Amino acid sequence: MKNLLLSATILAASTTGTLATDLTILNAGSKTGSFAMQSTAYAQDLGSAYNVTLDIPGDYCVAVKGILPTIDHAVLMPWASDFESIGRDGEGCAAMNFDSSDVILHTSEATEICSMSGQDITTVSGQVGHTVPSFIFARLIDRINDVYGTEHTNVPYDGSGATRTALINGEVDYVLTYPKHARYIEQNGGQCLFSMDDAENGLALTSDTVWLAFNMDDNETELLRQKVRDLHADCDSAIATYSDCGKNLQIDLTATDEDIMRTWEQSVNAQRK
Amino acid sequence: MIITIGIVMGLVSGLLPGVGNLTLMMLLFPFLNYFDPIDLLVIYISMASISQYIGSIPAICFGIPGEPSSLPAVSESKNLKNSNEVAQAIFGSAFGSFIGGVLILCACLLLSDYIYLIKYFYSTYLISALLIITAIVLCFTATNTLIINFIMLFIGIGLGLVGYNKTFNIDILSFDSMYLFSGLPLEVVLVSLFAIPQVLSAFSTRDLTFHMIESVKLYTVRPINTIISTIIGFFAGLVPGLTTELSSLMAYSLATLRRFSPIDKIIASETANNAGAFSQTLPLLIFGIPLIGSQALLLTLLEQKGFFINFIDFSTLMPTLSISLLIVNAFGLFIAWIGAKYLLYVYAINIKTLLSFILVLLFTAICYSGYANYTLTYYIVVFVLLLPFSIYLKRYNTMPLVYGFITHDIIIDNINRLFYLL
Repeated sequence: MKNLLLSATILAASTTGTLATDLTILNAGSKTGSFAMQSTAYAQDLGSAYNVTLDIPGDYCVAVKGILPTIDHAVLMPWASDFESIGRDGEGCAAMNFDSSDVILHTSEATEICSMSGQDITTVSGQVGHTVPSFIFARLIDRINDVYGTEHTNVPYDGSGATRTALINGEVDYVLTYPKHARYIEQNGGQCLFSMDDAENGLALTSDTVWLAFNMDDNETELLRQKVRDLHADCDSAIATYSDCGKNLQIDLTATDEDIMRTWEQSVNAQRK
Repeated sequence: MIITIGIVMGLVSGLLPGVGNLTLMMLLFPFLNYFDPIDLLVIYISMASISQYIGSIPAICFGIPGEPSSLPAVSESKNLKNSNEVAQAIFGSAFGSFIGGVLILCACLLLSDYIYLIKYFYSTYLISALLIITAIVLCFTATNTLIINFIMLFIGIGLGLVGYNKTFNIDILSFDSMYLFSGLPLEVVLVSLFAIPQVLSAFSTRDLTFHMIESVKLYTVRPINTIISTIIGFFAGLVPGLTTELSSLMAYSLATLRRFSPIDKIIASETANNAGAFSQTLPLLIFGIPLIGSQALLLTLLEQKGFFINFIDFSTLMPTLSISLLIVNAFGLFIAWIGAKYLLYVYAINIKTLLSFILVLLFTAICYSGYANYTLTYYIVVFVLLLPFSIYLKRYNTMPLVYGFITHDIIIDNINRLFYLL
């Protein structure tokens, strides 16, 4: 009888979405990168609905293998397609095993090519800056050379900030970067005229991210999924401010579970060796 | 009021080993959310500056490295002969930092229309040259033979390479351990291979009757040295990932090369790291580029409040920030004066008791750091494994090893890039 009452209480709480009051937002990324900024924004937005703890260990291995297993309450964590591809190649510390029901949100960012002078990467050869790991971007630059007959060379930088600075100070002629950084470059007088979304010619490179739910039942997951989606729809929320109300993050809220998993797999496979 | 909050945060961050600016900001995140963007900037800059002032006091007095930028002060603290010299080092560091801070503020105010030119500092060639020259100078000046210094430098780089290397996308000696995958923990390596050898060395070299000297003669500032340290600290503080650490190490290396006394070497490094504490915020304020974790958190908070760095004219920010920094620097000077005057009473304690207490404190700091990073067991295991080396290294100055460990990824990243650029 006691167990029955307890189960009923848990079920009722789950249904009304009040069970997962403690929520840890665990940033599986660097301390200065976009995941840190998005995690901070979510912590700000979800603070009214949950008792939020923001955890930024600064290392995705520590986050996934060191911290995640020790947390017994609800966790929201971003996971990037490049981490997954490295893990599946046996070189990273983890490949995540999840299905679509664990995905709170899927975002996709197509790489853009920016320059300070607005020169055309399809005709004017130069040095192209990008982040690490190098091989993903080097392969893409080789493909650009093949398709357009150019002679670009690649230059790796440790982080998007360093890559952006290299373009602004003239060390490289172009950079491959994601929309958030592309907008910064435009604000500093640069131009981003080329988007890497041409899959037919092998000129597509997107960085996909899934925000995963852990230690939540289906009801709790759905409740959090709805809240997160509402936040993205509200241009006054902190996360919408980060994404410039959706301009810097591609989120298809109508995508089916199958669409999400297919896009994710494509992105992961495109970044594998 | 706003400056006071920044100062209190700086005191906590500077005094408690293992509690850096980022940890503190995360703990106070809901509280920080209430402030407007300019207030947040003032709080951040006040905190960063005061933590540098305060961090130098335990480093000079007790040889406790609150943060890596205090390493030169820790290294030289054991060469201070009496409490009078300790007092001079503390007050001289604060006074040098104050003068340096004021100089930088004046320069930034006068040159605010041209400050964006620091973008040219971010050249792979220039940063590579700075890092290599500092390493060479350190090897020529650290108190071991040249060969030993170079060996230590490469051992430091080698230890730093353990784990996943993102430049080359390879695992090095991680043996499939997720802990080793993330590399050896900075705090444990600093304590085991630098701080403990220093303390053990002090056990044998310091006079056990280290009595107080009542008449404290305060340090007289040397203007040229202060200006040189400030300039070095300013530019080294712009180097991503290293910032104040490189500021203090570069100034310290140059001071050693110029055969300065231990007091002057400490003052040079502390003046430089205070200059670096301000210059490290410039890329954030001008280009919106965070160099360290706490700045990324600050940038997010600013953007949430509609404050986009690229749309703000830097020269309009400067007056507010300058006044705040001036007040904060004056407060730092005052705190150091109090510290120089009263912390000396600690030296009335038996030096062996004091050094034993420091060893316990260092171990506690490692445990706290490990606990805070969810890796307590790993930290303790690494500490125990490195302990024999701590004892062996007490006869050496391990600064080149620490420099190699701290800078290894940035040196490798820059040198690797040179091959692409050339």
